Amino acid sequence: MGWFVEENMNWSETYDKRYTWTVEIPESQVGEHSIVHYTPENESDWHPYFERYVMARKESPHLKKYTTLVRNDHWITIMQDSFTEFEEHQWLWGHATGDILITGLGIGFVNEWLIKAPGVKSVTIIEKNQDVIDMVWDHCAKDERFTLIHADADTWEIPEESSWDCIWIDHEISSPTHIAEITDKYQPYTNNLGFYGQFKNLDNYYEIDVDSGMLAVRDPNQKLEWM
Amino acid sequence: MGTYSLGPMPLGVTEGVAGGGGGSPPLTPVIYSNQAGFLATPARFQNLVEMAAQTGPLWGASYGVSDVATGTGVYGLGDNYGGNNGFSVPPDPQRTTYGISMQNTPGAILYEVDTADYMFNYTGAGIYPPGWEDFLNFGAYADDPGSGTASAATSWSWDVTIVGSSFSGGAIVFTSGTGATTQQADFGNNPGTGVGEVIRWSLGRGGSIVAGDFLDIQVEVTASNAAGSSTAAVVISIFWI
Repeated sequence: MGWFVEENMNWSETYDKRYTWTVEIPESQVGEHSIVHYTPENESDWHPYFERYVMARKESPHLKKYTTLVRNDHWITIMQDSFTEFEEHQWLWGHATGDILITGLGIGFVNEWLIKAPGVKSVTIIEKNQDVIDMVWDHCAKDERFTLIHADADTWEIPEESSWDCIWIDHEISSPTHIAEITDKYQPYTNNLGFYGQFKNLDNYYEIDVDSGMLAVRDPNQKLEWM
Repeated sequence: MGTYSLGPMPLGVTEGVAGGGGGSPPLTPVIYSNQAGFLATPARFQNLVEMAAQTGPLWGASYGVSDVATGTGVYGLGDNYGGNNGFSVPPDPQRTTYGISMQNTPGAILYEVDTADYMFNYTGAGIYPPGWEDFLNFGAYADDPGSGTASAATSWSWDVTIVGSSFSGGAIVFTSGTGATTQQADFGNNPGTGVGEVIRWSLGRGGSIVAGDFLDIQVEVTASNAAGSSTAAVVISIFWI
């Protein structure tokens, strides 16, 4: 198979250094979950969704190794350290300060920024699957400010008098109804509630400064053209 | 491992370029939504394609591309029973509720979708399992203005391309299938498949398509003969609002 970039897509190979975080989680399998590295060399073994994903999202597997989280018989790869994921987290990049709650550990993608983001006091991560915790937590970026809670974010009983400066909903959502339920559940505990994959009409769009590894407002300040 | 290019996928043919050997390349074909319409009142069906959305049996009420002559919906986005490609549309597609409006302009169809209604049917009605893919397929007929002359087309190929898209929540959209090679690539001749290639999309980790998302699709036909080829296209723009 081959990939191509469709007309009007202003794609550039230089984007690889500016537009995503790369995690270093080793391949493993625990229970129903696996951490898998996708490269051109193992293309024949890619998850069907990932095959479509790289084409639909103008990803560039010829430029980087992709670390992905997959679950047996699941129709999507749950998370990957892709350019697309970076763009789909733009809201978080602009709101991550103070005390932060994250639902879903995934591959620890957001940790790559939160560990060095200015003004982050604490990061609390809720993860439902012990499989994922076993594979990822020991290897993802973290320090003493990071706390992991093994619980289902949908049913977790939020401790009384909790509050966060920012809550980022990053676990799997099934429908708009689910979004509404999560909003009702978490909105009272923050003034900044964001959801994975809602990246449009933001005030600022960020990219990674190649030299410092820090985020800077993109110039021009706009989302990626094909997203 | 495939190769990458920074430009559009080569079509393998070039519009209006002579291939040598005498004769003339085909004239630019004209796309109609179906052959029956072309044979009856062609002005009403020109620059349209039939569209069939693979969504759910509970979707009812009005639908349709507003006919260029009458302004009424006759052919347009319909429902083919969740993937039953044996279902021929039109003349009797199941109807959808989510369409808010359609406009036809030469070579383009603009279609607005009620996001809340669409997503309720997609995820809230309890019909579809997780991972359900929505489909959109197309039917069309290509008239050859040079038919019966030295520039008559001798072969046809149809191609469906995503020329622009913006999906939230990790949803992805892609094409699949193989383009038809029949001049009559409507659902009457190719039931359920039409021009062959289809558009498919599925939700991602975020669980929803949201207002502001859009999809631009080009349905293109290439007419060829020994002397060259010529193309025509219709663009369908779908906006979730």
